[in-house]
Amino acid sequence: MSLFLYQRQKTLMHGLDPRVKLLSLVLLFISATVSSAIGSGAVVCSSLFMLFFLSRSFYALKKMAGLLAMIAFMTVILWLLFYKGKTPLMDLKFIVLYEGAPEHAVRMALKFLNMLLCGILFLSITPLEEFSDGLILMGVPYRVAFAVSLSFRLVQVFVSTGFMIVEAQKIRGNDVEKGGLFSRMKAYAPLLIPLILNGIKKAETLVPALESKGFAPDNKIDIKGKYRIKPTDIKALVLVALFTAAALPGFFYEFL
Amino acid sequence: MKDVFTVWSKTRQIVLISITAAIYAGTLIPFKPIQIIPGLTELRPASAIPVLFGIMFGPAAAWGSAIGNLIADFFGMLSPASAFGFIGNFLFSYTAYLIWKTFVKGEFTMGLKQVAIYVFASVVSSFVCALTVACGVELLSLAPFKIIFLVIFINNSVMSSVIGTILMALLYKRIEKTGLIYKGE
Repeated sequence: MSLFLYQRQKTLMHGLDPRVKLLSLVLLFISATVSSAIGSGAVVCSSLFMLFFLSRSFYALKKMAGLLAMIAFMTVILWLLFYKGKTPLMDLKFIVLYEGAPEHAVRMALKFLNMLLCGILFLSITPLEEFSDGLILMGVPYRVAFAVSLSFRLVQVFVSTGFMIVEAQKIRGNDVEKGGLFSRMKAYAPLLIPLILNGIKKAETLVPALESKGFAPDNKIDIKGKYRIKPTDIKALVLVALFTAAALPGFFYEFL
Repeated sequence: MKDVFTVWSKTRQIVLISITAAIYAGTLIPFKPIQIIPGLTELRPASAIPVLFGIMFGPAAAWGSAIGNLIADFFGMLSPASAFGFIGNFLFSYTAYLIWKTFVKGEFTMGLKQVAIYVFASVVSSFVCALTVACGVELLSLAPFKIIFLVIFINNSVMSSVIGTILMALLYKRIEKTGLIYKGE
């Protein structure tokens, strides 16, 4: 089972060039950030849902629904408690609820959700290989893209090793879910040590393995032939750019 | 500061960046957090990694922590705040490395003085990380500064001081034998 959200699908959005996906992500992040009003936030949210529908990525939303609901709930609670307005609405001695707090709380929760939805959409349509290729194509040095790509591959290995260690330690009676706070914290050390030593062992073998295959930090790879910007890519990017441009006036109207 | 960029010119350091990133991101999932207030305050054992690795592997661990945090966000939490998480985690690890390098000159003993320096490095670097991330979150108006700052600061400083000190005492000598400890340029 993959830990990440990507699933191979044959949709227009999955087939976009990685550069277009990365640029669109940045533009969508801007749209979500500047859409602070409930109305514009709702427009961004519904547009994102439409994109989820078009990319057949609702499974990712389903997977993340619990976490998204909890984040929205906590954001609302936090802003209700910490929003400082001019007129108190309710004075509960230790907490004062100000006028405008409920509206502000909903706005911020919607904004946070929109940002996360942009990220989830990107992760559902972009495989890790395309992400690192996209970084190289956008001018990030090969050595950096390589480190990122290698890290992604190693994460899967370490996560499964981690689960194995947790189970093995549980059998030996070291259950981190039992006991007081300090004893639980102490119980984590025997779990982390094998994982760290496993990583160090991997580092020792990886260096000669990479060097024997001709890897050097100064290497340059040419992947330009692998990707070609198609008319669909340009159209998609223009659409996202227009969408972002449409979100900007609301932001300036609110803050200027 | 030059060493922050020179680590990218050595294969061994690049591998250490990836290993740090993978271990940091990889410990976030199987090692469940200790919930204090569900959904709001939790202690993540993985928070011990950036300081521990920063002291052992130097700038490579700082880059690794930053990338590791970004990778962890790839499990569904990717947002503009990830950029501040990237910078915050870089500083979390790099500040610890700078403090350790400044105050510890002799051999590694993990005696009382070195434990105190380790805890000091953990607390100061956690403060820097919390400040960076909380400023970013405040800038994006996602959550109140005070809450985010306190949650990150308490979580990072407690976990890196308690678990980190134990791990450092148990692991440093073993890792030193492999020749991977960063001794500077």
